[in-house]
Amino acid sequence: MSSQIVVKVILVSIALGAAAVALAVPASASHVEAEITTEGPAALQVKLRSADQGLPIANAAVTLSADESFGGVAGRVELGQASTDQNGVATVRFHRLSAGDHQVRIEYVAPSETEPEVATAFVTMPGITSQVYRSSAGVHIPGLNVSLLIALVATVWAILLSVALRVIAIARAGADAGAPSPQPPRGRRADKSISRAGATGGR
Amino acid sequence: MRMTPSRPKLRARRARVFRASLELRCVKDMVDDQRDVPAPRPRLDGLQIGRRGFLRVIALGALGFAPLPILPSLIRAALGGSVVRSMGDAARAPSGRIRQWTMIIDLRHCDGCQSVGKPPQCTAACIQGHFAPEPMEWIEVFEGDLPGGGTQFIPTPCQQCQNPPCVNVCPVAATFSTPEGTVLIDQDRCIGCRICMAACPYDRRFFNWGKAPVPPEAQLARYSAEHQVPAKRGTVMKCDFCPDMIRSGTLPYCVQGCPKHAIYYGDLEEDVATNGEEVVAASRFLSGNQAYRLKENLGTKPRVYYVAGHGEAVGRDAFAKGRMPTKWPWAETVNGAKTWKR
Amino acid sequence: MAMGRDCERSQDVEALGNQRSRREGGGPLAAAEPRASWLSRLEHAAFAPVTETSRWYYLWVAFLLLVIAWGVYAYSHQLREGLIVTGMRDRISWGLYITTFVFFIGISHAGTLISAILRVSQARWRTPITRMAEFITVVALVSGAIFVIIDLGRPDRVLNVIRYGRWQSPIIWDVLAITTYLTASIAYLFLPMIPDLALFRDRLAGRVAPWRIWLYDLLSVRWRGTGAQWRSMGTAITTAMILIIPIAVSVHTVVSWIFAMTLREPWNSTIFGAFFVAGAIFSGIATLIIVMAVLRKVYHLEEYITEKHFVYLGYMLAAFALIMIYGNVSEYVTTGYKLEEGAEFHFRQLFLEQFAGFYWFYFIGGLVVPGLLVLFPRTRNIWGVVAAALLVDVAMWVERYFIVVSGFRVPLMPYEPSSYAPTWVELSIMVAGFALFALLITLFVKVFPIIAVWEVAEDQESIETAPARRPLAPGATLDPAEGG
Repeated sequence: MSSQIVVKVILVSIALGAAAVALAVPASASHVEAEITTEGPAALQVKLRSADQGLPIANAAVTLSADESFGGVAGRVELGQASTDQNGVATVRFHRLSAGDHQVRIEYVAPSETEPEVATAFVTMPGITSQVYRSSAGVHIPGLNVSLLIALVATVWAILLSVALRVIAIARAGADAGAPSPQPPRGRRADKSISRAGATGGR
Repeated sequence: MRMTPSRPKLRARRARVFRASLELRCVKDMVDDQRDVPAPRPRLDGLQIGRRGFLRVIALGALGFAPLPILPSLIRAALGGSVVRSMGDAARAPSGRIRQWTMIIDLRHCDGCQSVGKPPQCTAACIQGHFAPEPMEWIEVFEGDLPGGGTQFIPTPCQQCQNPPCVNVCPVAATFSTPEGTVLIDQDRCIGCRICMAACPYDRRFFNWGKAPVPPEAQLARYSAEHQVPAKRGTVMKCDFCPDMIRSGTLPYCVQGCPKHAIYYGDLEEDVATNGEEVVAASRFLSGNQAYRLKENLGTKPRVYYVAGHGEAVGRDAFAKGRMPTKWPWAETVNGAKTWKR
Repeated sequence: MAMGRDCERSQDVEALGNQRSRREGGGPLAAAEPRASWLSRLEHAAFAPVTETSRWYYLWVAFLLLVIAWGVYAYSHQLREGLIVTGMRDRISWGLYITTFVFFIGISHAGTLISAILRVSQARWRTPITRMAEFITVVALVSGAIFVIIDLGRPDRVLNVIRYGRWQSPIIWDVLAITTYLTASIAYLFLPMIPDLALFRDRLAGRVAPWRIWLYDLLSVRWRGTGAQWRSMGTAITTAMILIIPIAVSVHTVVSWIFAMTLREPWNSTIFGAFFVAGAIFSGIATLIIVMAVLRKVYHLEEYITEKHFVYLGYMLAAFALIMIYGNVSEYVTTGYKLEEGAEFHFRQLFLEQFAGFYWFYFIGGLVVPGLLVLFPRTRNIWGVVAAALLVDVAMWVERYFIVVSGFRVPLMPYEPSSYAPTWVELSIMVAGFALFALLITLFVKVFPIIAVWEVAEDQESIETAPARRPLAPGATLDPAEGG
């Protein structure tokens, strides 16, 4: 039976986001026509049709996989499984494929078949430039940031500085009140203060 | 104005001239009254205060500004100067997107190396590769209780949180988040305050309490925050997620070391992960196996995922308790090194 | 000097003023004692520690230096070997050092907060004790800050805090708050001391070593007691005392946030800041009582620091004991009722197992008994209050200890709970820290006036003049000479 089926695989890839890049890749021929389109950012659609009559093949299990290599390990990554609906369409949702060329393997069991059929197709995934994963920690509240802390600290220190300036004012007032002498002998200084007090008091 | 006593009280006092301390105050008030009106000398001129006064101003200024050096860091933060540094450029996927490293640990395949009759091999490989000093187990295999009475083994590396409590509290940005979603420590900057160890809810940080017991060859390694060799006394260390290894095309030591291939390492951005044997689509693998993260309710958003299990896939009985204790393989260590307990 | 000389001159004048003195609290001041002799006694009491030094003083200083030297040796050992010489390990990674740091920052609230609150509320009885309280603050802050550096694994990199400081880190908040608090406390200690320093400068010249006179001269910033100077000082004190209250509250709040900003069950508490501030003031009052009692005994200040002061501070102590009990109830009932993950373990270790002795000593011995000691009339005396204060100080240290260590002990992952026992290095350094605290107070007392002479005099005089409130006739000239 499988020898009578023609498979036509068309992969159409649509880029994530806006720009769409369409690729149609006919796959190896068999007796069922399978058409693959990407749906949205992360889904591939496989359409199975009988090659001879072009009728959709329903209730066929389809498994998609692609070759990937990571960390020095190459392997086949299963992208997902789905069954075809009345229109012969199976939609396999997956997350993302890395950009570049991939050999996508379509494995399906046609109705009234027991052995899976395999078709392969090369597909070029477009480079997605926008980052998908971003650290999303934190809640941004407008106005609540380091400036607030700086304003607080600066205010406190400005007040402290004003206190220091008061001390300087005391020193200046003292300098005005009595002539400063580098090493005042006690008596002289004391006398001065007394005389000053007396003088001012006498007025 | 003086604070106490108030003016009326002061007036009341003026009547009692003959008290000594009061008298002092009276002198003050008189001087006050007389001094205020005519300023005897211009006061604004800074030169008037003389040399000693000037020195005092300097001293007071120094006092007032002594703790201010902390402000530059605040200003730096306000200007948006990022203190987060990566080691070189971030690793990127072919599409140009920055890799987002992840680890998926399939507990169904982890039997705590009971079947191989050795201490956990992920830990052993990590220790070998990083010259980790005793008693640091950057990936530590905990034995957790199961509801039914058995146990499960939980290999626990640094969870690489996306809301990392350790990074949040570090006073000097010695531990930092990288664009690749990992958390690293710069042991050349760490001051050893250990608040990150207090903050980490997974007990995944280790301190070099003394001179680390590492083999002499560790001293030859070129240090980087991505490859914390050799250990530096008085600083904090932890699993660095081996981004240097994956960049050079090899998998982290723990992944390589696991005889049961229970640990997957991958890139969430490209949706791929591997355990050294097979490659999987990370998203499908996580969703398809009901993966979870440790202490998810804490909101730390780890990048290490677990698939629940107790080694059943490799034939472990949940009631077979116990794993072998980790051993450090160093035949000789650097001079003067001592080990310590956890 | 104006002050000093005038006071001196007034002595002959004083004979006329045969006024009654009504010193509150029943001090030994005789009812009919002339003010001049009272004042000269006050001055003498203030000068005594500076002018007279007994053999015991040197012995005491030598003893403290010895203890500190031992602590320095222990620290040098720790510097050589690393923190491995302490009992701290990965799972309990803070111990005695952080405990002592928190305790010292706590008792620093003695001082300034109490002194500032009393000054703001114009409580007159505060005057003889404010100076001590303010000095405890400065000394405790210095001693406490040292412990943070001692606790560092890399003290050589401490300047990284300034070079790479991140404002998001609670440690940076601490650095900011504590440096601000220290500066404000020094200012707040210094400002009211200026007239007293001037008094020392003028009255002690020739009687003490020249370097002291030089120091008093320098620090008294040309104080001559002019009106402009009084006004400047008044403004400065008012500003400082109002500013220092929020700073003090912020300091212990951010100290508690070092713990509360982590995800550990026992510390994960919104009440932590307020609880720490209350505990800080609580231990601060207790420390003030102890320092008061010691200085009173050693320098014979019985006339100025009376039973009244102890009892009043005792009342504050009792009030804060109640607040602390409330804090404990609020904290443990809300967490214990729900008993989240980790809380069960914590409750077990805190109330029944490893820390039960500490906790119940703290709760019974540090909160309930001191409160009762103050409240029972039979023990409401100096000895009772001092005993209560001693209990409170020990209990508050113990509280800090079990908060730190028990918080770390709750297992985060399935592992056996670890244990912590301080080593001789930690104990030596901690004891040396307390010795440093005592030494700084001892030295301070030798150099600076421990009693705010002018404030005490003002207090005394305001008590005396209070009934005689009559407005001054305008234009009246007031001269000491006229008075005579």
